[in-house]
Amino acid sequence: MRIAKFLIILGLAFLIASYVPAPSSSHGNLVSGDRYHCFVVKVTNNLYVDVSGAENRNFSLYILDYNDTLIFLTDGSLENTEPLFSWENIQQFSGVLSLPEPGWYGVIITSSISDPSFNMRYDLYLTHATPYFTPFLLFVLLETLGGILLLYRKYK
Amino acid sequence: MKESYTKEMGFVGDYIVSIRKIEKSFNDLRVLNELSLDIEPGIFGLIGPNGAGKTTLIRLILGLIRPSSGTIEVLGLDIEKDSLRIRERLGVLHERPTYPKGSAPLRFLQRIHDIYGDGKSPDALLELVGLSEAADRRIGNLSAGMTQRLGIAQALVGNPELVILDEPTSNLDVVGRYEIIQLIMQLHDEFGISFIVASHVLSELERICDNVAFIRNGTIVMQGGTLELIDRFSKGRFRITTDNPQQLAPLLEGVEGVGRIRITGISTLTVVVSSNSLVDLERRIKDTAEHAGIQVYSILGASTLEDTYMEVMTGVS
Amino acid sequence: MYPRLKKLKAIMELEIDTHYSFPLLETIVSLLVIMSFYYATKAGFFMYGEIPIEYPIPGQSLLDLLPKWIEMGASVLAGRVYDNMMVILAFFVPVLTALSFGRDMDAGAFKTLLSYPISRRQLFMSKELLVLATTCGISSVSVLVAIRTFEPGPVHMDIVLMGTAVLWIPAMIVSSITALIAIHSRSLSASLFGGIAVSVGRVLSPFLFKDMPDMLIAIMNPGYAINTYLSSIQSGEILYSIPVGMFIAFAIGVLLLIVSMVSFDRMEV
Repeated sequence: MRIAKFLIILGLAFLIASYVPAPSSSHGNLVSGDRYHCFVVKVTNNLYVDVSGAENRNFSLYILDYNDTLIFLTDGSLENTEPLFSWENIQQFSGVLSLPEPGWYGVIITSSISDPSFNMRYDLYLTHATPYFTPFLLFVLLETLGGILLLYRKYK
Repeated sequence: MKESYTKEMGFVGDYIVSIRKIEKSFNDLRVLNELSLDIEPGIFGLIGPNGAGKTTLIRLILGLIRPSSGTIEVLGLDIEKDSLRIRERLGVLHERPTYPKGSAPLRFLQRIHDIYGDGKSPDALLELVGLSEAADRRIGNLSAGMTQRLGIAQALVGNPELVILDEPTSNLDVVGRYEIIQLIMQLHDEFGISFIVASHVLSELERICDNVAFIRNGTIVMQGGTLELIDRFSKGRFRITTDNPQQLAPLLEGVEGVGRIRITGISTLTVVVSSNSLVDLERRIKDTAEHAGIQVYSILGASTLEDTYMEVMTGVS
Repeated sequence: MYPRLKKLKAIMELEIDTHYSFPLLETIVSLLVIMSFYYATKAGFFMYGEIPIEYPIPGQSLLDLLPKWIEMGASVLAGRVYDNMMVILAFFVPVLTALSFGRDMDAGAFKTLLSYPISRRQLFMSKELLVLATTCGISSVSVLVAIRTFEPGPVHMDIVLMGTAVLWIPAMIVSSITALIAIHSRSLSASLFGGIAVSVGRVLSPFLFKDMPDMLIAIMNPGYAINTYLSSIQSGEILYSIPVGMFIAFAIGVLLLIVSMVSFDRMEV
């Protein structure tokens, strides 16, 4: 009976683990008009992005896959890239991005005004979309196993 | 050494435990002093006051501590070399034992059964000690008597040839003590298990022990058959029940045939007599008491193990 | 061999019933699983997401830097997580060891246990194994699951070995010392406080003594040494001192384990 209880509780621990938030906040970033900020993130599932420009300043947001991120870093422009998502000249963005596969992605932020003397302040919040697959799968497996054992022992 | 051991036949010797000149000291304190003792199969009582060395002797027999010098053989095996094999063949109930409080008796016995790898089934044992109904209760919630029964059950798991019980009736009420004593006798009769019972409750030991040894200050001061010792040491000893033993004692010193006198309680005193005619003596004692205005209620033979123990121990002191 | 294993299993089950009664074991295991994921998620985003790469950076080839950074990702993640988990275990390992040895010593349970046909080595090993399995074993598994969750690619064996060593070696040392304190002091409280003091001292030593040589840091707190190498300094000297220091720590751990076992063997119950 103890082993069944153990499995069920362990499964619940994995359920909680699959929802543990992984936030990354980056507040008060300052980017000048002729530059880009590139956040390289490892995404296992979907990505939640929340960006807001301070003082009603507009910005552009691009999401690139790893190869395009490398091209962007080589060329210094987005010309030869095909952003997976792009939002231009916006004041605020918030949403879950469905990315095609786990891997490295570039989150690029730049000011809408390409004047070197112009500085734009923005806040960024990134987080993995939950639940995470592996611990959630373990939760389902352990609960099933624990439940079967519990029923078996009761029936026996 | 008279005993021998064969794997096929088990223990076939005369002595289940044979101790030779054992010494044990803790730092500068010598607890056992050249103690020698041979214990025959049956129920054996190890009797002595607190601190006499009973528990130390049991710990030595179990290999829990090592002797400073001397040898011990249990069931024909040397405790230094064959401690594990000895423990496979004996069971122990320690004084104030600790068992997993959160576990249940049945589960606990099952674990012990797995440790021995073989032996009596936990269900049968619980039935034997009368704990079947409490098989799934929490050990922490068992009464003192039930815990002691569980202690006896766990000592029996490995089909032992010898069971050592250290103060098995301590912390028990009168009924609980009676039940444990009955159980020991039943186990000895039904399964032929030998017991070594260390206790200072002499009335119980007198009822069950074939042989006893008195231990004091780490040495055996007397050893023999229970009845033989009682007979030897209580011959000519009488217990007088009176309303004033303090006043009667000096008066009896002058009575012909009365030897040593000892006040043993608020209404009793024990006398050793040398007179051949007990009827005459009884009359003389009663006359003396009556003359001094002291009431004598009874004069009876002092022939219990407790009397024997007192006689032996006070003689030693 | 089989009856011996069966006996060892029975001793462990009895030990679980005595010292890990429901729901203590379950609580510890759950806590370690959740903490592993907490640190894995936190360490993952902190390393890759929080500091922006400002482009263009004059005179520095990001193209050279980024693949190296990404390649090291799993190692950095693992280093962070293992280091943090070791801080958590710094509490659990001495507490469980003190409970297992000190409480039995305090309550006189050893005389009951050693009256069964159990050798002292079997009893000692089963107690130690249970403490290490409950703490380091569970942490190793859950950290690996967490790393695989955030690094779905192939897991490098070096990371697995490194993490395992970071968790197990200090735990082995702390557990042996706590057991030794329990055996010699015969007291639960002495072993509990003594064990925690050693464990916390070991974790804090690199922070308290800033001039401590790299080798000594790797011996005292390998997680800290690895983390320092991976996330900041990356000097060749540290890199050299890590495996050597960890090997010395392992040797010390084995020696302490043997000393504790011999002390347990000679202990008078």
